[in-house]
Amino acid sequence: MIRPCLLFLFIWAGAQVQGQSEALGVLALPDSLRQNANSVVMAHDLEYRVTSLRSATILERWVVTLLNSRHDREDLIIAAYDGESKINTFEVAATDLFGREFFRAKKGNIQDERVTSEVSFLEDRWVRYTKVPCTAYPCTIAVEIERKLTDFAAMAFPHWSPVQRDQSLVKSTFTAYVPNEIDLLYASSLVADPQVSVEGKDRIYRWTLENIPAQPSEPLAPVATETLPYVRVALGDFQIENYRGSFSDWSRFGSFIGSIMTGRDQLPDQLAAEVHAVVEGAATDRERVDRLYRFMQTRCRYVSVQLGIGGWQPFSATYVDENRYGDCKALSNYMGAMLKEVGIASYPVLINSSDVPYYAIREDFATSAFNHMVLYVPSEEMYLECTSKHAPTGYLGESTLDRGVLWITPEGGRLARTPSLVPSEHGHLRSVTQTLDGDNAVEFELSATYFGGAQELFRELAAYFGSTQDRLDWLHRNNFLPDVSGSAFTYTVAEDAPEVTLAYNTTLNSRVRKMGSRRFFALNPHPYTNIPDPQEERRLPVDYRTTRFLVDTVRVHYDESLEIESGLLSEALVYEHAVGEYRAEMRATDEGLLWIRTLLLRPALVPAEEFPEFRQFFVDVAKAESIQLVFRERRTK
Amino acid sequence: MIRDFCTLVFCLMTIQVAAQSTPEVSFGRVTDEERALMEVPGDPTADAYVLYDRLSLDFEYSDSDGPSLTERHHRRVKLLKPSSFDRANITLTFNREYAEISEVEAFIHLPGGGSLPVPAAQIYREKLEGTREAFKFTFPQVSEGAIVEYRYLERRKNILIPSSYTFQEDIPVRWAQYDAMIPPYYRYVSLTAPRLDVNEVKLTPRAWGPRFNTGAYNGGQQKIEHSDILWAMRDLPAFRNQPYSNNAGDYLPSVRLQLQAVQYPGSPERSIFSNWKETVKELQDRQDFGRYYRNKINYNALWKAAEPLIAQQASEGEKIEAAYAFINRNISWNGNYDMLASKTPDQVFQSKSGNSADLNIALLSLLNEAGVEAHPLLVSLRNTGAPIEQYPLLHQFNHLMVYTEADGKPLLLDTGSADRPAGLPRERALNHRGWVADKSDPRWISLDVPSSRQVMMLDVDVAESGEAEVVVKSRMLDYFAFDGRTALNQRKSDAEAPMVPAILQVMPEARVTSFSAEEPDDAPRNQFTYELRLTAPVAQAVDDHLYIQPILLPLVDGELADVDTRSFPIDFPYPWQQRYVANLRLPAGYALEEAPAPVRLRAADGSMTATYQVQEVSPGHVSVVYTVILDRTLYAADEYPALREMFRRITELQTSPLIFKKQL
Repeated sequence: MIRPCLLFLFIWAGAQVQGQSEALGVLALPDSLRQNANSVVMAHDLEYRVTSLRSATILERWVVTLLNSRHDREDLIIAAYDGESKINTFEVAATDLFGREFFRAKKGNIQDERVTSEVSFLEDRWVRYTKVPCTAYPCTIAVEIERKLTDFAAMAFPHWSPVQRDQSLVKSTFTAYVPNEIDLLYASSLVADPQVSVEGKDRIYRWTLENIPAQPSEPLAPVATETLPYVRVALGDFQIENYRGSFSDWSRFGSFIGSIMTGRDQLPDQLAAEVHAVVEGAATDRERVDRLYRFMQTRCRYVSVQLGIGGWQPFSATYVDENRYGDCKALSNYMGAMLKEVGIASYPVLINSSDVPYYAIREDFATSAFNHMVLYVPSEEMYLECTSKHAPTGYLGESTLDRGVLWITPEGGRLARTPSLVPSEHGHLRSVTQTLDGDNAVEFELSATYFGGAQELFRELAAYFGSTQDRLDWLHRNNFLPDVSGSAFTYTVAEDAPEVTLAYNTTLNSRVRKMGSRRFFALNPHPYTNIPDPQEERRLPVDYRTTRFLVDTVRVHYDESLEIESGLLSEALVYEHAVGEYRAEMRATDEGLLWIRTLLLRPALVPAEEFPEFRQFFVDVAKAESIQLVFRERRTK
Repeated sequence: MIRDFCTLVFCLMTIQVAAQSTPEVSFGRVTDEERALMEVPGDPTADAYVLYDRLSLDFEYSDSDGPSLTERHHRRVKLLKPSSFDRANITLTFNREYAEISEVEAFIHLPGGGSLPVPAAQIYREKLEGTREAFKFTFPQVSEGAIVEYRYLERRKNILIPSSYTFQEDIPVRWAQYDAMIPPYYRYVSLTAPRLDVNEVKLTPRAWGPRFNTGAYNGGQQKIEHSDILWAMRDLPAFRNQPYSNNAGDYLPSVRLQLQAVQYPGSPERSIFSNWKETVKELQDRQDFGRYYRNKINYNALWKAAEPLIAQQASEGEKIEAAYAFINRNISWNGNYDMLASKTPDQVFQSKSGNSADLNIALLSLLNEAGVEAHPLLVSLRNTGAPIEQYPLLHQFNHLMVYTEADGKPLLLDTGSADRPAGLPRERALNHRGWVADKSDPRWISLDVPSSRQVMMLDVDVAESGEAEVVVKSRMLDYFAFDGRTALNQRKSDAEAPMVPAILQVMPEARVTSFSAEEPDDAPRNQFTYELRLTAPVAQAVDDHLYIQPILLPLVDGELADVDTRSFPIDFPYPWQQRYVANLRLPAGYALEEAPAPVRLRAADGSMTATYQVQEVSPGHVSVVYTVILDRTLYAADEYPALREMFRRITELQTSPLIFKKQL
């Protein structure tokens, strides 16, 4: 009995000593590691031990010193686990500036909580966490977490990203112990190659990093995996339950996914008959695809249930048909099964759905950087988003366009890319007529068509706000409409095209400011005024990702007794930059004037040193958008 | 005996027996009319419709465990549009320490005919954090026109506070019913009295309860008269919230019961929470309330650490400040609110973290030990219900502060942020009234805070191009100071520095050149002095004119003027005053040609005033003085039109330009 207790004390004493010495070490930090840092990783060691084809342990120890309260919630220590992973060690202690321990995680301040992601209904994921009560800075936190992983949990490989933005690093190591018969595959960025050695039955890979200054967070920066040290790992051979797989190339990884989906596309007889009835009389495969996609949208809904193997393997087509719901995998599998029934081939597609994928996949390194599944119909070159009940057939949302994806073909995985983002396919055509009436009143008429990525929000709005009043309130709150008390409101969602149109009329009583003989009037009711924050010294490139083509026309009608004193454009205003083109012009009309503006925005990677020009483009645009017309009583000649 | 029960029952509530027709609803069976319905009568845009919702309260008695409470829930909802399909995903949560859910059953009724049960294997029981658990299930074959129906039984060991019931929802309701069968031994008080469509209370004999030795035949169970209650509402429209509302949920018709007294046969009545005086005694005897701050064994270590800082203070006011600062410096708030402590003050101090009650009870222990009279102050947070003073209902409270007095004046203490000075509770706690749990004098008090003030002095040097160099000096008091200091300390970028977001809203092209706070060590925490320098295109240059926008920092936003009609009161958290003084210096040769006439706006009751005045101090030098004062925080819904008009006119003033002309 005595020996284990002594051992326990010894381990704890060791951890304490380390925490204290690191805490004191913060006093000796060079300025280069303090600059731009809200925290400093004093030491970080990640040990990855692959124990078999289907199991591994991950031991992570780190000591981080928080320099101020602006750190990125690094006082919250979290470890995730589920039915296939277990936390063996969860130890957290904290010391103050003088190395005095003021916190140690104990049963009373460690919590376990189930986490269900926003898009899921049922998941079997948990987190263990504790919050270190840092009330004064610097505050040094020492952590040791060990987790044991099996099966699917073991596929969550411990990619190494030891330092984050606004954080500097003194020293970190990543050591992987892998049985000789299994290949460790890795792709690294901004890290030197590992030292490799052999120790008994294991090959050992060891990466080391030292003295990395803090990289400040900057808006519109590329994802951190591209600008900070990062090592991504995978295994050449693994087993999950009875399925063997490999990440040695995309084809084999795709084969593995294909194997766990095998046999799940059998349609119940009654559904098979219905499927044939649905496509009866369709002249082309495209029409068949369209009819079956609509059939699925009407019949099924998205419900995410991720329990056990269900996190990777889809519910069978029979299950989906019985329940009429499923997650992205289940619905894609179901749709694919129906297409197969009528002789149309399709591939499940692994994809990352997000504004910007956190890791851009590459041809030479197979990895699972995906969080979603869609379906691809090769004969029609068409992707189908099977979780949407209201997308037009073949429409892929902006969050899935222009990125690497993995087609799961019968022959194995094949890397592909979703269609690129083209500005002319995403934007709006909006027209406003404003008639000045009396001293202050303005008759306001709006009609607009939103298309592509710009219509997605409006399509969702139509699906989730059934009531007209709810839609009006939302549009007003988000500045698409000037009030909620108008008339002639229409809101039309095109079924077969990614388009939403709306119209609205109202009378505005506060748009004109009368000052003596003059009236001031802001011409553009929807100015584009997104200006990036100024930065004296930009360090990272600008990864601009917006794709839009915005066309606005504003007609201003006014009485003959008035004339415009200022605000008229004598010639077109034109601004150009790698990220966009702006053009605005005015024309006289019989009733007053017409202002036409086109604004094209496109993705571009702008070097850090060109940030001032990048920002200036948006400053120019904002100025040009904020045109104020000054009317005065017409002077007789 | 029966007479006594009647009396008891009739004491309970105003009886209004009005026999009304209640729908005959059998679980698992829907009518053809319900199945065929595809639109809510009177609301064709509604995406779902509650056809039937019922909560039945009942009681059970076991000789070993005593009384317990059962609540049967039965709900039937018509799904009319795909936007409502998420309503088919059901989560029933409970805390297994106090309750248990069982007998969960669910059916879906398909629009084309037929009904399907949700298989028991697809009703999942999940463990959540701590002792919380949930039943989760979703319905198969959901489609437009389908009806989802489920029921379950919830048992609670504690009969003190049954679940509250709300008749109205965010979608229309055809029938909502609360019924209860209450044994005569229990006297409940109901908090709300909605205008019910059915209000039926009668006495119904029923076998229940402990086997009392009432006569020659021991151990028999007799039938006794229960209060048999049926409250229902029909055809309720969907509920809609409005901006600047507080406690909007209070405007929903609901039932909230709390046990007031228990009287078993042959025993004297035992009051549970008969009045506030009794309530305070109960609370003070609780370990997690009174004893934590009155028994030194619970706060010895905390006091030992804080004593050197507190005891050296000469005055009581300084002791209060020192204790308040000590807690803020040494214990961080974990983001949770509560009216009861989760740990002793010593444990809270050791863990350096706690909920709002943990922190403030720790403060109470220090004040108590330092000889400062202080008491717990319980409040319901904003938007969690208006205070109810008539009955000692404890579950209305969800936050604990500290009431004390300094220089004979009330002082409200609410630790949790070093940036918020003593006397300023959290904004969320400003729900008008709070209850002081003073054992000798429990009482309700108004949560009055001083009017927060801000003065902004701007020097604006305008160039001929319209671009201006602007220096803003601002002195902020109370909540303005807290907001300013917080914004400065927590900013992620310069664009989030105090005042900058508001300026960028008006002038997106503005560019901040510097900002700084004057924070001498001895500066009171309720003050914040701040300077901001920027360049901004404040004027439009046209020929020989400059049109200047002098208000760079609007004092009111337009949101209040946005709603056409108002159903609920407008409720601001605290009173405030803002004064904006801009000194505009024009390029040589420019003179003021036109400016808005001086304006003085005053609400009919004087609770809100706004003044605006432009004065040409000297050629090329103009001052603009603009003030808005809001003295009242609560305005009734019928006062909205007048208030909205004030806001509209103030908003107009904020955007009115000044016109300067170059003298030739």
